[in-house]
Amino acid sequence: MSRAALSLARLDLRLTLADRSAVLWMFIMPVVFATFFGMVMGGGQDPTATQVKLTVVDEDGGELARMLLSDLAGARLAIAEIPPEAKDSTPDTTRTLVIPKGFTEKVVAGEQVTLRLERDPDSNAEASLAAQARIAGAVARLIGRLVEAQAATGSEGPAELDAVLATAGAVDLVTVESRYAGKARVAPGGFAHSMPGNAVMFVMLVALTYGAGSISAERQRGMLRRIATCPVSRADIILGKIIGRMAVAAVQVTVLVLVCLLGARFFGEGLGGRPLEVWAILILFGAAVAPLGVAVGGFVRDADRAASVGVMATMGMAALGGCWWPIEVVSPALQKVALLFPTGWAMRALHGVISFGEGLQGVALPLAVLALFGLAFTAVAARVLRAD
Amino acid sequence: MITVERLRRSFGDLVAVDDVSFEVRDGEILGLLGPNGAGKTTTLCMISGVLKPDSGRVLVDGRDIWLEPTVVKRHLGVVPQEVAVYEDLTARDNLSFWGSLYGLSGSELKERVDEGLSRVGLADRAGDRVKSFSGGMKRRLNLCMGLLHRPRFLLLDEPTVGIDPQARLNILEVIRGVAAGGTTVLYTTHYMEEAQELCDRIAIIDHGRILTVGTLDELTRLAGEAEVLRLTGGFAGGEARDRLQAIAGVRVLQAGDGSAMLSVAAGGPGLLAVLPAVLASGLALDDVSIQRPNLQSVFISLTGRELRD
Ligand SMILES: Nc1ncnc2c1ncn2[C@@H]1O[C@H](COP(=O)(O)OP(=O)(O)OP(=O)(O)O)[C@@H](O)[C@H]1O
Ligand SMILES: [Mg+2]
Repeated sequence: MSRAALSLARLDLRLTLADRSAVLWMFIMPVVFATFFGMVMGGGQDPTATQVKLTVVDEDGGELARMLLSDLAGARLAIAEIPPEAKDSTPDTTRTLVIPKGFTEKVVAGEQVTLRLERDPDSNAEASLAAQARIAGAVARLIGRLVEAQAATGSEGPAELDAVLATAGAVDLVTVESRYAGKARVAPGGFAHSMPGNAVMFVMLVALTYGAGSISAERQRGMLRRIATCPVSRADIILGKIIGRMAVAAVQVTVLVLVCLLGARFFGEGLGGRPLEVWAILILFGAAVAPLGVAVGGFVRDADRAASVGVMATMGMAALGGCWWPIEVVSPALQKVALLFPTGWAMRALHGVISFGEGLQGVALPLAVLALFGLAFTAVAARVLRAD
Repeated sequence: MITVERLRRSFGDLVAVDDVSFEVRDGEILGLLGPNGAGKTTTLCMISGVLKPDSGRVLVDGRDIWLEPTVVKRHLGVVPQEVAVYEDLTARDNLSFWGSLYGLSGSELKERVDEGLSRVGLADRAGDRVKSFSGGMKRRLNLCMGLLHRPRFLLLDEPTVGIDPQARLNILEVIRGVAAGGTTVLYTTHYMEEAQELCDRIAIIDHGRILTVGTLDELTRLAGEAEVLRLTGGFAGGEARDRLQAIAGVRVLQAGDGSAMLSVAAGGPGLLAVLPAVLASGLALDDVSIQRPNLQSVFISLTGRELRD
């Protein structure tokens, strides 16, 4: 990259950071919005991040029932076990898991058994879903052990109880289930949704309003024309402008992630315990939408109009991409629509990391798609940006 | 040398620049003089490589600016008509930024910035945001930004428009100094006095066409006038034209209600013969003044119109 491109980029970053209203929209508003919506949507009681209360009634008392229970206790559930006879007198009916009499025997015999999860209709639905998912995970692991035991004894029929118990300390075989079980596949809520949602929306908003508006204004005021009289190639001008907007996004993202880290007590697991991954995804997202801002600025001649086009585009893509509410709450068709926008892919990657326990490899597809969006936007910007 | 060959550019149906050719010789100041909308800025933009001509070409020291843009632009200083500075930056930061686009950096850049600031008299305002500057100060900064890299060719587009006489003097002084240092200057203006005072040669442009190019003497001689008479009084344009045209050895340059201008051709009967005839023409005259032919009369004789300030 040439020195001239760097000069242009540095200038852009500098002018943006010197603009008070830009600073407001870069740093203050996203934190305010994320805090507000995080609290409205469940705040610290984020079901995916915190322990969910679960009352357990073990009517069976057999070995497999105990095994299931000890597995559940490790799955971030706050378990209160009550004896079967106390069930009707207990006041807490939020969520109760009933392990029926004969559970161990029937499982060993290969018969079907039903675990019952009773819940108060007024209880937090998301928390119940999370509990359900964790129970399913524990059951899956139990089944895994049964299969393992069956394989070990080599018998065709039902597993021997002893063999199943012998695997109790062994590593989980059914790793796929246990991974999903570790963090629930339910709609993320609270800060786990509002932090990434607002970060994505405001990074895009700044890129498409201040980014587009400043390019447009520079053309209107003859700055681009003057830059074009300097010994700087067109490619360097475009590159410089795009890198400038990327740098703005990078500073914004870094500050937002830091704020989230420093406010971890308050925001809970808004970063899902993976700040670096969240930061990396947001940096990539910022880099992908930066050239879109340049393209809008190149396309829309009037600076004010460019900024308002930027606002509308951002709002549309934020809503459809799942920044405002978890994408899981909309219809399957709309969930597909989300994938037309970089916001949809960014939210997918962020939720994967924050709420579903993925690493960066696990969200490689959305990251690759974001990179492609970035390249496509760069190509558009290069086509539409003209000095006059 | 800058060679402009048959430049042409239209915007829709409007031909803004039509077959324009001229050259700016090494070390000279060439004035491009023309009224509003004549096509000066359009021509300059094509020469500086920001507006693509429909046809024709521009050679700077023999190199085509559209074929080797970055090589040529390195030696080109451009001062646009509209003040193009970052208002939210200080004067110093503006200069540093533009200097960096010409590859200047470090202590060299700093020296050039300081030198430039004191040259245009802005050294004491270097740290202030341009937002707080007066129009004249912005113009001076605008000029300074085109000089930092010590260009061999300087293109100026009406650098003195709309500023007070003192700032104008400063700007003209700076340009003279730059030219004295060997820089070749193309100076665009619609002020005749400026063109007359500052420029070695003048090209007159109107409606996108170059009407004539030459030194002031050449232009006035070319227009064929020895002296110019300016008449004012209580007469009507049509009447004045009819009566004045009847006088031998006189060419009516312009005739309007209350004012007229005529030239006395060199080699004709001469001023002393013409003057009595004018006075005897029966027009209600308040005043008759005799002028050396100047750009105004040249422009009028070429276009039939006055070039207004
Ligand atoms: N981008 C454009 N689109 C359409 N028409 C244009 C454009 N630029 C210039 N013109 C037209 O071309 C003609 C020449 O304009 P130009 O700016 O070159 O004149 P000028 O001599 O610089 O005038 P001024 O002294 O007012 O600056 C004018 O009629 C103008 O309206
Ligand atoms: Mg002009």
